[in-house]
Amino acid sequence: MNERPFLKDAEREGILTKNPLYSSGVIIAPAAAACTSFYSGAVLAAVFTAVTFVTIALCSFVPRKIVYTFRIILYTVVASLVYVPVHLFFMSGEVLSQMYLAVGIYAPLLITNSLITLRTETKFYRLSRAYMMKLAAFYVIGYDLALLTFGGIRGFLSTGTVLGIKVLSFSIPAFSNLYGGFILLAVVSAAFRWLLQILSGAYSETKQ
Amino acid sequence: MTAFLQMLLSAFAAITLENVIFTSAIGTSTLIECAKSPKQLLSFGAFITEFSVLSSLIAYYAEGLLKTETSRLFKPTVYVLCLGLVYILTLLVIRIVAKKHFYALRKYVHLTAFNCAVLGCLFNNGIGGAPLSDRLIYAAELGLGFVLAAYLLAINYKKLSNENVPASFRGFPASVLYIGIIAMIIYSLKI
Repeated sequence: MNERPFLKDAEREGILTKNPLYSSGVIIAPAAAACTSFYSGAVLAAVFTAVTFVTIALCSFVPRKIVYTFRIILYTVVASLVYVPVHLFFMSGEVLSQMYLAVGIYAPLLITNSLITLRTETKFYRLSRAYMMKLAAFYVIGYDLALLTFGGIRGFLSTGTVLGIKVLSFSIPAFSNLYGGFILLAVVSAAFRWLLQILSGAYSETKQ
Repeated sequence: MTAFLQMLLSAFAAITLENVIFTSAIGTSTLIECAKSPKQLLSFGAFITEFSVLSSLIAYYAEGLLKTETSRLFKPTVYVLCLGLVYILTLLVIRIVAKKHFYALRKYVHLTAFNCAVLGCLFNNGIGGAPLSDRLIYAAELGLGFVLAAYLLAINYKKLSNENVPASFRGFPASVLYIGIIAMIIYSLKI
């Protein structure tokens, strides 16, 4: 009998049980409004990864002696500065810039995402640096995977295509609208939670 | 009187049909958090309105400093600094004017300061290069629209988190579904 958990603590928490989008329901706007295809999901995921992970890593060196208000301002200033090279990178290529511009203000809005403004203080910076970096990485991966799957499903349903290849003879364009994004996010999130319950049930049965 | 009613109706239309949550999703996570305790709605709404209006005012003048293409790359940093300034000023004013309520109010200030809705307001205002009056009206509408959206969610939040709702949908997914349905109604009213 295998008693090893399906994933280790940090992986399980960041990707599954506290997945920022599907389980915790944070950073909803980019997903519901701008993540309309796999490609837009990939752009948002790349911006999110670079901005969030680098900011969390850099700001872990900010002394705790600094007053909370100033610390939070500093975190977001760092995030906004980290965003500059990310912006320049995406604007460097023609195809890349078109994809990047399509997500509009939702890319720069990621500088005030709750992993930076809330979780840093309530969770990450209370842990040892090594574990904190690992946990932050898996939270970021969890959100990235959620964006990619959500964008893929949304693009598939709204256009009937997978990575540009026509698969379905019909499509539901309403899913590309904001309300369609909200409704689909609710359904995908509920399905994710249901799968999680099944997985955790199967794991505890195996353990018993 | 007719002019006043017309103004009132157009303001209401702006808050509902151009509601930032139902038309752009910005601030949805905060909205769901806020709807969990309806008593906080007004305090939250007041601070979001204050932050949007004041930071829009400061950002309008700060944008004037960004004259070169390179300096405009730092627009997000300038916006964050504007928000930071309003954040510090708000805390100072509360500390001086309402010292007794400082500890109760500061949590709303902390949660509002770097909210996506407020930053989104600055970005949206900055895109078109709108005049100051339009920016301030938009910022005020954003705050009031947020209160309306939070109220609409708060009145049904208990039902959405009820045990009768299937476990997978309970809470967050049901709330997002509910927001999606309202967004769909607003979308159909606009076309």
